[in-house]
Parts: sequence; C-alpha cells; structure tokens
Amino acid sequence: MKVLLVDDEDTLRISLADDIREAGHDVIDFPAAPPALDYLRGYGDVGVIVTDWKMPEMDGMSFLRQAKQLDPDLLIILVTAYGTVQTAV
Amino acid sequence: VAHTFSGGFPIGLVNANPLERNRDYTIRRIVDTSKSRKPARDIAVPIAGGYVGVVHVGLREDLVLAGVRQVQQAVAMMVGAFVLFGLVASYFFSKSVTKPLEELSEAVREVNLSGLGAPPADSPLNLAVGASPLQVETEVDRLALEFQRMVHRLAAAYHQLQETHQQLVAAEKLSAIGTIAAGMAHEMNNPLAGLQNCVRRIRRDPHNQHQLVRYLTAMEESADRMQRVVRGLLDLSRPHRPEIVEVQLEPLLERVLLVVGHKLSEAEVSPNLEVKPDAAVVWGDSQQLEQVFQNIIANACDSLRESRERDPGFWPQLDITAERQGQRIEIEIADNGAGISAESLPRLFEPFFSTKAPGSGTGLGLSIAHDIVRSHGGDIVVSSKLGRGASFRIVLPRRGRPLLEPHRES
Repeated sequence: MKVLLVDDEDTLRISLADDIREAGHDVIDFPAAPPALDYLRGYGDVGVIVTDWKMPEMDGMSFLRQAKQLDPDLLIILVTAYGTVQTAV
Repeated sequence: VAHTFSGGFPIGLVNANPLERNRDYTIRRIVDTSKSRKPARDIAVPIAGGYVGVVHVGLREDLVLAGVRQVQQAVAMMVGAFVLFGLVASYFFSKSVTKPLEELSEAVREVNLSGLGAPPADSPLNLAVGASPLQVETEVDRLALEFQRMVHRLAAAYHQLQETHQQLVAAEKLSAIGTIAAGMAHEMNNPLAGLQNCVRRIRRDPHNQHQLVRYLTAMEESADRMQRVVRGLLDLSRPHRPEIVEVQLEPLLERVLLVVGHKLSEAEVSPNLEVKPDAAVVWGDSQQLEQVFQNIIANACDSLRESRERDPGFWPQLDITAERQGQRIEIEIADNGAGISAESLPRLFEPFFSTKAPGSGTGLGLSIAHDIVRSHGGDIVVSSKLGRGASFRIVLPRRGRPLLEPHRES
C-alpha cells in the first residue's frame, strides 16, 4: 500500500518521504495537489494520503475532498503548520 | 357805514357782496379792477339777523395764500427734520444692534474647534457677555451666551471625535501588524518544520552523502526564501520616506526592464515601451519607483509564463505606456496573461497575499509597491478579469504635489 505525500515545502516533503520510506512504506510525493490528483486518477495503488494544509493553487481541504471522491477508503493524515488542531480538523 | 379803510371807502363794495335773506354769511370773490387788480374775498355776516346791519370783512387772496404757503413750508420742514432725525436715529440704533451681532457671527466663524475649546479672551463671544452675569441684559448678550455654550459643547464633541479617530487608527495599525504577524507565522512555520526534520535526519545518519546533498540544497532554498520574507517584511515596516526628485521616466523603465530581463525571457515576451513626451518626467524616489515597476512587471511576466506553459500557442504581450492625465502621470503596465480573479482583486495589496506557486513569491511585492506609491502621494489602480490579462495603472503626481494625503507608517 502506497503513501501519497503532498507538500509544497521541499525540506519537509523530502525528509518526511524518507521517514515514511524508512518505516517500510512505498512513497510517492508531489509539491502540489493537482499533479497528485492526476496520479490518483491514473493509479489505484494509494492507501494513505499525507498532505499539507496550506498550499497555493489548491489547498489541502479541496484536494482531500476530490481525493475522497476518487476513493472513499483512503486514509488521510494532515500535516499542518497551524499550531492548533481546530483548523486541521 | 363804518369801515377800516385808511383812505376813502369804495362804495361799490357794499353792493359787491350783498347778503341774501335768511343766510348766516356769504363769501364772494371780488376783484378790484381799478387798483391793484388782486382778487380778494369778501365775507358778509349779518348782525342780529340783519336788522342792525352787515359786517363785511375783506381778505386779499394773495396775502392769505402767502400765509398758507408759509405754514405749508414750516410743516414740510418739520416733517423733513423729523424724517431725517428718525433715519439717523434708527441707523444708530440698528447699528448698535447689528454691530454686536456682526461681531458675534465673526467670532463664531473664527471659532477653532481644535483649539483648547474656550474662545480667545478678546473674542466678542466673551465681550458681549461681559464678566458679570448682571450684564446679561440684551437679547444679543443672551445670544452670545448661547453661542458660547454651543461652542464649548462643539469643542468637547470635536475632541471626543478626534480621540476616537486616533484610537481607530491605532487599532487599525495593530490589526495590520496582527495580519502581518499571522502571515509571517504561516510563511515561516512550514520551512522551519522542514529544516527541523532535515536536521534531525542528518544527525541520525550524518554520513549519508546522498541524503546530505539533497537536504542541504533544499535547506538552502528554504533559508533563502525565509530571508526574502524577512527582508520584504523589513521593507514593508520601514517607513517609506521617499526622496522626491525629478526622475526621467523612460531611462528608469529601461533600467527596470534590464533588471527583470531574465523574467522577460522566461515568459518569452518582448515588452512594448512607450513614454509620451508629456510624461517624460515624474516626481519621485527613483529607487523606490524602480522597485514598484520591477515588482509589477515581474508579476506580469509570471502570469505570462504561466499562460504560455498552459497553452503553447499563446502569444504573450506586455505593454508599458506612460502618459500625462491632467496633473498626474499614469504608467500602465498591461499584460494579456492569466489575469486576476474577482476574489483576489481586493486582496491584491494585502501583505502575504499570493496566488503564486510556493517559493516564487513572498506575497509582499505588491504590498510594498502599493505602499511606496501611496507614500509618493499616488495610487495603483488594478483592473483585470480572469483569463483576460491584467492592467496595473500607477498614478503619480506630476509635480511634488501629492494627489492624496501621503500616509506614513510609524
């Protein structure tokens, strides 16, 4: 089961991807939501999405909404720079 | 016959005015044709019913008329004198009323609400009232008193208004600082988290050369971006006190186009620059103005590049025109790129507002540009439709005279 990682911050994305890989999971990462959605449409091998919340072009919320429409069984993990959980949940 | 004539008595007179029976008197106009030819009036009055005789009294008309005329003249003179006296008296009387009123209205006109509130000591607002309340007698004094009270109330209200306004400005400034701080926190938190994670991983496996190179490249970019944010923020918070001099517009714009050369070639656009002769000179701080045009032209390039990437058949256009509009110089920077959505338009000059991809913009460029132009006493007017390009009109005063009250950040 693959992990799809979306984050516009390069340092965070590549280091998190390495963390997940070390934990024994397959990772594919994208710097923005639209190409990640394209991947989801093309391949059905993603089980978990790890995404940033605040991104230009498309924010985390609309990305997740569209991703859930493609596959309602997806597990979601939000990574956010916001200090509080309220905005994230 | 008894008579009062000094000479002889003209006997014809007796029959000239005969008294008719049963009448109390008769008056007849008689003309003495023999002598002076002046007409006279003869009044005949019977004595004791006419049994005793008749008294004739003759009055010369010219003498009577002269007497009447004299009385008329006297009356006319008296009337004239009275009218004249009335006029003069009423003039002085009205003067005594209107002068205090005029002084009062003058004093009211000169009331300076931003002063301490009380009118100056020699103001008629005080003089009319006087020191003692016993002197409050005439209507004018009472009016002055009412005016004085009203002025005090107005002054108090004015002071309150000013205080409220100051509080409002302070609150607005605080909220702007809050917006900036919040934007800064968002902008900084992600790269900081990334840097921390990279550091943690490098510490755990310091000899992983491949990882080290990848991480260091990304970390350097992050640090650079954070530095740009901080620098932009400093620019924004630093008060822009422009050094206003005469600036040749065309060379300035050409310099800017050189500076943003790489942006132009990225967007594969060659800009049209046209500075009309009447817009050759603007009044401003050349460095700051360069920054303004640089920010806006760079934005236009980004938008054009985006459109070109999306549609390879897209023909990018960038027109920079400057012309005089009355007392203002308008520099228009228009592109036919992606344009700005209606939702984004009102937020365009907000600090940290950006529609760009990550890393390419701090969201401060337009905010700084707007601030600079405003501190020049000008303004930036943006019109755009999504997919139809964007036009930025930078309006600057032609001379050192500001169009708007320059607003200063402190």
